[in-house]
Amino acid sequence: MKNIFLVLIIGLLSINLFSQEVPQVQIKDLNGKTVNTKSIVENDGKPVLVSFFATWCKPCIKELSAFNDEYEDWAEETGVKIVAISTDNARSSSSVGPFVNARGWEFDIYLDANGDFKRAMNVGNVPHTFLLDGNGKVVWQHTSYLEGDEDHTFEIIKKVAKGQAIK
Amino acid sequence: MKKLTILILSILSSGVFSLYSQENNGGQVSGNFQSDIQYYMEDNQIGAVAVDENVLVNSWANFAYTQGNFSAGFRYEGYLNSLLGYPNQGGINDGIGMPIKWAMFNNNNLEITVGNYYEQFGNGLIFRSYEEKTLGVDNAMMGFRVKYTIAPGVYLKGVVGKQRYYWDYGPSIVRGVDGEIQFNDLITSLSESNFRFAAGGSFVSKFQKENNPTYNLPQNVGSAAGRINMSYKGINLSSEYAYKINDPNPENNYIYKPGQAFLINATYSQKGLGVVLGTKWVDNMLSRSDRNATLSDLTLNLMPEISKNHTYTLPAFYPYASQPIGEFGVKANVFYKIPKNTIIGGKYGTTVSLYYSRVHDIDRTRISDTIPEFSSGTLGYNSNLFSIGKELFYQDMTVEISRKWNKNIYTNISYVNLLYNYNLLRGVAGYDNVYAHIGIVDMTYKIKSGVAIRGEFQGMFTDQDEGNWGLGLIELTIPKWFFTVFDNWNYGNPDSNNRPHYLSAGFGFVSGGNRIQITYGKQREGVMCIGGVCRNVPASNGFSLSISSTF
Amino acid sequence: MKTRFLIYTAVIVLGVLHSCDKIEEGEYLKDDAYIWNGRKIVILDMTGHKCGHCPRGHEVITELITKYGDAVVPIAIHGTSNARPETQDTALPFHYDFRTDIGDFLTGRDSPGYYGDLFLPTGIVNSYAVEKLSGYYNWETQLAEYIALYPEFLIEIEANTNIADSSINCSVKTITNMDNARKISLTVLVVEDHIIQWQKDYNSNPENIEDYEHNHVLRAGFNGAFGEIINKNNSLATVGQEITKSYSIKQNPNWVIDNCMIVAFVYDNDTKEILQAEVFPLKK
Repeated sequence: MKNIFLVLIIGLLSINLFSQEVPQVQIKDLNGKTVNTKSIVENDGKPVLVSFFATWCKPCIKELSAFNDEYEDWAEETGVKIVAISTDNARSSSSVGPFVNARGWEFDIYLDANGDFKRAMNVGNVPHTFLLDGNGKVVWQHTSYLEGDEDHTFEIIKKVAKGQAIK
Repeated sequence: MKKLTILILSILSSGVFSLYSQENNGGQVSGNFQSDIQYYMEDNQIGAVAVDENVLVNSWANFAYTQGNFSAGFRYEGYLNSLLGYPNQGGINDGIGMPIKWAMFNNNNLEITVGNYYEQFGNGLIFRSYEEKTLGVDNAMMGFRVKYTIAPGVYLKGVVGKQRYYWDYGPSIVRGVDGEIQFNDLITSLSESNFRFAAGGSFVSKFQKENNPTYNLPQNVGSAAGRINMSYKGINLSSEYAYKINDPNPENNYIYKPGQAFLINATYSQKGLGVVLGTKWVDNMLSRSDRNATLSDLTLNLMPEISKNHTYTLPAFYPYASQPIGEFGVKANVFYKIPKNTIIGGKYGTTVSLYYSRVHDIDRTRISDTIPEFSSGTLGYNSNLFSIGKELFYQDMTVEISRKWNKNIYTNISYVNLLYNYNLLRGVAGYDNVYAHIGIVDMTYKIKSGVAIRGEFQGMFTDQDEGNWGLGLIELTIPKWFFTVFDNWNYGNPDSNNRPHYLSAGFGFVSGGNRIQITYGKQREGVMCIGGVCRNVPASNGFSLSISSTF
Repeated sequence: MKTRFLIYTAVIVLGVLHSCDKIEEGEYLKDDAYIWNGRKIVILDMTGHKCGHCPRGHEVITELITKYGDAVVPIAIHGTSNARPETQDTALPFHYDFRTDIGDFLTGRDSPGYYGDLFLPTGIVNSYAVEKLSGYYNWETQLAEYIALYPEFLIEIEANTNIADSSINCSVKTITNMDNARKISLTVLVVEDHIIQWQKDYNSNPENIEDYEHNHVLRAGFNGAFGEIINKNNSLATVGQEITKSYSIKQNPNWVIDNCMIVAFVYDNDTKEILQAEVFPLKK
């Protein structure tokens, strides 16, 4: 029994290649406008970081705060765009705008109140971050937030911006 | 036999895993996997029980295949057997199978789904089909869905199907339509306007055969909702009103009163400041796709809670859950960032968040002097929109201050003041309302890049229920690994012989989309609520292992 | 494509909009269904063993008991000339004397009683009022008016029999279940089941039945035909208030105590409406 799981775990961990494109799902921006997920990840051939979060999720807030502190520098160096997808449901989705505005986050923020985009991207728990290359393909992803993860994330973004292999 | 099944499954799935990255005529496979495993040991002091199986496992894996405009997928789930505390009356959830299967066609204006899907109309007041794995809730629809964009800014959805009920489906046929017009996108001259306006409406009808010996029950129960959303620069106003015709069921004691719900949210924000004001009034709005279902089974709609969703351990001891039978609530949130490089704000600025919410019963009057409220086979009672009843259900005031002191130190300090109507919210009698003060200090010290230590200290002070609690947590993170030790101590239990420590320790490993966490220790019995639905988390003692992966 | 799609959606919308079954007030229950909320309903059945149509009334009561169970509290009051024994010879039909002081007072023994000149069978559902007298064919309709109502009062009976002095002792507690401003009277009776005796029945051949089972037969009262007023100064006006009354009577050697029960009911002294009843079997 335990061995089976071990096999499964090792099998899973050895997988880190992606070729997925972002699926088409309708979500809303902070003004209530419906947008297609295909259009929100367009960035003129530059990388896009898509981060799933929730206002009640402490590690998510830490991660996005860390991204925000560096965003200006990262954008300047790599042209990366950061898109934050709130998975807050109807309980707190109306608070997302004031919540992020007060923090002065500069990302594009979208609301995925029933988890349609989250499910389409196979996200189990937040925070979960995807990096898309200039062609809109998912080339890297990361779940959870551990202190200092943003430094590693930026290393990856730089490689992807230059068209280098991640490994 | 089950072991064999698992073995075959794992071999098959590892086969799929190794194949997925190979593109096949432009198609692609993606998915995720999660497994939660708990080993149960008995502990009489905290009420933890052992199980016959020793180990219980909840796992599931999603697989999706996409090629151009077409996609299809399925979810394999296994509960061998179901973890304690998840809905599983009489073992109804135990087993292994493929409950979710779907196929979807999608072009720019049209999306057609057959099989299982999740959907929400507006705020979900009359229809929300969703899954919340942490609660064991999955009321996926099985049937057909069409989404159609008629013109820019004009959206139409239609659904028909039945709702998932564990490994089966509920008895009602659910039919619904939803439309929304976003005027700024429809009318080109408004596209650049600062004033945005959208209006939407939805209608849902459920059909369930009735064969009740006593009551003339409606076989078709319809509900309708209308909503608007307006924004002008930093101001946003949104509102939704919902109405449901008579829907007598065991939970409302077979009364024939129609249901109503009203939701209003007004927000203002500018850089550095955000304000949220909201109110909610709900009367007899519980809707299920089986009128005899209970707990979290087959819920067709959801009343969003108005209170803050507490995620720190101690304030989450007393979580509020929406009362669809009737409630009136108000909330106010203020988010303010004291600017950077000021004396108070410090180098990085300081974020102050205030949350307030208060929820009452609604006011009801008898339909006649001799008929008590909620008498079966009557209208039930009379009520007026936005009436406020005397009974207080819940109140919470939270102040949260987060500050980054320098490159290396980050703190988050909270104070929570709770009032919790124990009898009503737990469905029991004879308990006092809980008044609790909770203080939380959460500090992170970054030793160097990727290496940090975090300490979390919580204290809850109350004269009711189990008295005072203290909690301490230390977490060390190094690249890809984290280690935690934590103790939750009921040091102020009025019964001085019953002041247990809930000690636990764990570590985890994260790489890309994969995460493994192993914990050993004790967990307190409690209630966990998300989105208006709660489950009882039983006390447990032992090892737990959680694996998740997205691919 | 577009037009066709619009037509489809229009059809779906129309179909869905029609899917609503609003149940109008007054139609909430199935035709034969009822909800009993604990109110017990007294039927005073004025009857006599020589009344050949009276078994029709007994049959209605049996049906009502089958259908409504404990909600029905029948009391058979044998009275008028129809109750007069034919003979004292126990070998001959109609020798048995079912009559009681209360029955005589209400129905009359040799001259009209409280309810005037009665033609049996007749009865009253849940009231003492003369104008409520009505035939057995109306009883179910009248009972149905009360069945869903909530009891305004609750009654608890404690009773025991004393062999030494052959007495029956009881205490009856009346508890207010709904706020009110009524003047309340309490009547306490002894009623006996399973008395096998003669009965005339025009539907039977022969008409005189020897082993007819007489049920719910009024035997005696503890406090008179109309009981007594029990609340003074609003002492039963508020929910939870209670008054306990104790009574005692001598047993009659003709009674089979194991078949006897105490029936107590409270009524509004002004309207004469019976508000709640309770039954306590004396069988140990």
